[in-house]
Amino acid sequence: MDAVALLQVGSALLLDTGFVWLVGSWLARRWLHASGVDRDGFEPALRKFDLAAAGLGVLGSAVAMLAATAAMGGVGLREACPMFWTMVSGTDYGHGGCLAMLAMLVVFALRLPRGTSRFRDRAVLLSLAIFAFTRSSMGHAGEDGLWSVALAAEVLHFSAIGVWMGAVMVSGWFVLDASRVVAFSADASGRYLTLMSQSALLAVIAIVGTGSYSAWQRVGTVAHLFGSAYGTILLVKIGLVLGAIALGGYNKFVGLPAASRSSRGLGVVRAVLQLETFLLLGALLAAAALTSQQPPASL
Amino acid sequence: MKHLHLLAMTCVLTGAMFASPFAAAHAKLTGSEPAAGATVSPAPKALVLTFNEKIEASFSSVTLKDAGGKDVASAKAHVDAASPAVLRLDVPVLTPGAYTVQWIAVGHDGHRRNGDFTFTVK
Repeated sequence: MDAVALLQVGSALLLDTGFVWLVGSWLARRWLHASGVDRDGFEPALRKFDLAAAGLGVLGSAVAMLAATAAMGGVGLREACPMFWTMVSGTDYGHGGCLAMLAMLVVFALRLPRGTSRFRDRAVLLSLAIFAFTRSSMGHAGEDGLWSVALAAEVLHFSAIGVWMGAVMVSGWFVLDASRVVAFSADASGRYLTLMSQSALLAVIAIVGTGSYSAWQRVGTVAHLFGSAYGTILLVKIGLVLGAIALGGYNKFVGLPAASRSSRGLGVVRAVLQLETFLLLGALLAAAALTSQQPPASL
Repeated sequence: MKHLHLLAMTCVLTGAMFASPFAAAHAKLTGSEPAAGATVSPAPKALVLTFNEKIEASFSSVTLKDAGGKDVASAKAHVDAASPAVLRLDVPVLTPGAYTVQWIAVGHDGHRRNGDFTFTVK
């Protein structure tokens, strides 16, 4: 893999991780509120992480566009700099990249002032929706125009990945952190975990549904799966996702009932969520590697 | 047991689903005038390359070389106004002989593909 491809993979991972965190933190705020937990105790730290995630999103977008310019021009990164404006202003990919970057910039600006308001929460959600829509339209799903079933499926797919991975990441590493979770009553932690688990399950169903639709739409080349680097990455990705689903299943059917009985059980749920985050990050990295690579020439 | 079934079904469907990006199409030449390997008479006034998807004009190109490897067309290829998946290259009067068409096509998704084919003017 050359420098351009590495940069494409790295920037896509950065961008998607930022999006996933922001979706997760948006949901966590709602679940905390619905569980009767005082949000004010969480807000300052959550805001800082949100700013970092949105910042990563903006940076990732800019770097991704430079890497895309180099890939489109078939040149190195230095030679791509003079072509950057042509890419940004003259291609659909460039227009989409700019809009995605703008959406992340708006989220950053909205999270900058301290405190929260209903208006700001809604504006953040709208910006994330615009980001998801734009990013989805930059691939093949956008080929048939902005009002196609393929694009709708892709938007839902990408958003559901944000919900699933965001719920896992923000809950496992932030909300359920041992120092924070002591402020929860037993009822509150149970309610939070139930809301998180239900949303993650719905998201996985949406991912499977929309993904199966896309697979059915583009079917016919699975024979190429074996014997190429591309196929190997894909198989690794499938393995990681299946592992994450298995961990999610364990938490749902074993971890959550145990967490309602003891704080040790809650600790196990947290550890499983943290492990699940690593698997999903690996899957996200593999996905980024796949999209930046040329598939085998025979495709 | 019901839960296990649900989990197994989810695993199978996810496996099927994550095969989808692998099968994603990229800019591919689906047809051309003159066709690859064709012998034509009279000589074409333009080369018309049709792809399977919309082409980004700024980063796509078509060049025509004669049997000696010399560039024949001085014009730049442009995307057809009526069809965004078609690249056209206006060419001067071609003398009889073999020609090679080299193309670079950047698709809507930013991926770059290239290829070439030959034709003969009788």
